[in-house]
Amino acid sequence: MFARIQLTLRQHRLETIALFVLCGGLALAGVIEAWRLNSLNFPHSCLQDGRVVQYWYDGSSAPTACQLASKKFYDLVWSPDMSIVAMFEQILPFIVGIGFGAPLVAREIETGTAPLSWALAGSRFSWLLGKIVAVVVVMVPLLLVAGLAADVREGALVPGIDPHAMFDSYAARGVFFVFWGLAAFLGTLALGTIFGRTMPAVMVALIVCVFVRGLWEPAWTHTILRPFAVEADYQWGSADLFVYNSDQLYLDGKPWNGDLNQWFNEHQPAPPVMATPDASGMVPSSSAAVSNAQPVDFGPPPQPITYVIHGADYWLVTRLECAVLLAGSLFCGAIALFWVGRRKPY
Amino acid sequence: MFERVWLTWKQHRFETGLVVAIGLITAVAALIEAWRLNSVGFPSSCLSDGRVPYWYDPAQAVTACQAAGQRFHDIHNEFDFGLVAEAGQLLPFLAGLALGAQLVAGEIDGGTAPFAWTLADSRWKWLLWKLVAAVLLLVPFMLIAGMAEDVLQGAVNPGLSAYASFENYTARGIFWVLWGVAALCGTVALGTIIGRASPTVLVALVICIFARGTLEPALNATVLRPLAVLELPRIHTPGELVVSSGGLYLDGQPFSGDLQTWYQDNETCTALAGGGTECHSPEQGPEDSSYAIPGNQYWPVVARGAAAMLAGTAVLAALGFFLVGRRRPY
Repeated sequence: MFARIQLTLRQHRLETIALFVLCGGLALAGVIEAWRLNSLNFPHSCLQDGRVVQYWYDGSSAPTACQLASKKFYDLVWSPDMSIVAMFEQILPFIVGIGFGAPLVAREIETGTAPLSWALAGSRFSWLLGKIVAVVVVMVPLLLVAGLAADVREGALVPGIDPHAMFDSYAARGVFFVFWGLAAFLGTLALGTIFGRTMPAVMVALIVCVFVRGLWEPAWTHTILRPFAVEADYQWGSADLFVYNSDQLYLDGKPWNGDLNQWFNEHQPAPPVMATPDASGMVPSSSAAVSNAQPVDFGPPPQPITYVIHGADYWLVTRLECAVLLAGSLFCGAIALFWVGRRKPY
Repeated sequence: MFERVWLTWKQHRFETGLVVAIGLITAVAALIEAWRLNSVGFPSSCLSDGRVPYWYDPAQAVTACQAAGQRFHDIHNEFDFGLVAEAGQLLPFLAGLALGAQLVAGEIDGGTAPFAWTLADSRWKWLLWKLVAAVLLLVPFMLIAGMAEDVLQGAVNPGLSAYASFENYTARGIFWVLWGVAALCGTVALGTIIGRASPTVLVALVICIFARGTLEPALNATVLRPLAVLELPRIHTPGELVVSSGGLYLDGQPFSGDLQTWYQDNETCTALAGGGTECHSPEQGPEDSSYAIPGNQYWPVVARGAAAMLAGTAVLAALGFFLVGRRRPY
């Protein structure tokens, strides 16, 4: 078993080295960025609601003593190196998965070594299964390390909230790294087995991954997560997962079906009223004579109700989504195993 | 010549089909999304700085514009719209990568390089014709997609010309072509070094992401910096490009003191009836100014950015030619 793993990794040594370098590099970069943020020692008393670092510049909301610390914090958060680390956290599992999945079968077929490999191996099924196990054994722990480092970085970005109790970038960190990587790997493996060519498998897999990743969160919030959503209070924020807004507008807690334009027309401030000139034709200078149209507080306008999932349900959502990703991965793996037994070796 | 170009396209028919599909599908999708936004018919009198204000905020939007604003933003916030609008962040690279990885690395990987290079007069000429075929394919289709993205940008901000606004400017228009050709030449050079197609694509993808992430900060700090003018806090022009911070300003003058000390010195404290004091910060303190390039400088900025990118592309192409003449064909 160990010999087969070693052989597979040696055969794909470029991909293996790239996996170690990319995962190790990103994990290190994530931890360093988290350390840089943490070493600013942002005062806990300055956190908004004890959770989020406010933007330094907004004098009306951030306490004055926090301005400098907040400026330093955001200078770091918006620095190019932080952006690059964040960008890589979005794509690393896909690069690793596609990088390993595409050549595993397609390259053997493409270079004409498949007939020999398949003839030497007792069965094609066990040949491919051995290769899959070899890749998974190496890929899973490395992606997990990179994902946990991304969790640490996220924790430093929002110092007042446990990263496992908030939904900020939740599908681009933590255990999701492993499941995205597995899905990309087994999906690309299936494509490579069907196409029998590496490059088309890579390209189609890249496009499919972009679509799936982009559609993932909207698809979940439109379907499976809806029943779990609860009405948001006025201070819902980055810890919560926005699910949807009600179609119905509400005013003072009651359904409101009027015309929105008309409501705003009726509730906007009155236009300025000019004072009447006195007998001498002069306008009294007293400021009371001119009614400046001051905004009148009519309370909140008609608005939809927002439904969210609270950060406390992080693990519930993560478990559900990872289970679906795993099921999809296993399905793709099954297609690859089925197809490799049926297809011609050229 | 035409035969040689045609042969290259036929040899790489999957990649050729991919580039054509990327160009045409993006263009059609962008035009459809632009048409959907334009068909809302948002009144020009309701625009705020050339943009459609958020329908819900009565402080920003005139009341008569609420319904049209809501319809506009409903479309603008849809997922498919975001996907089309952001296509320029990825697709030009994919097109360049797909073609570039196969040109040399595909031949070496497939074992046909010794044969192809022996038949050709010289390796340089062989690569030159392949690159010409790839560029002839990339340029028109990327240009079509980029111009459609410009049309979409014009629909997003109906009061601002897409050519007088720097919003998303490196992901539309001529930049589609520039990114595609840069990715092509870079991938050819990388493929010549690695000699295997699939690792070339993945390494090139990582490099492209780096390049995409760092190009704008690099341009802002170098070639675009001389075009920028100082804008005091709270002064902005529609469509401008902010290239750097201009430092803190207070009452129109540069502020060089300690921010925390200033806020502490300017607090107003009142004694409370029950004892103790209540302090309030001043509403406006020192604020950040910026160096920005106004939207009417769009074409000079694009020209400088394009020149920098073309120079980089030429270096990568030269590297590809140098390496292909030197390396072993296996």
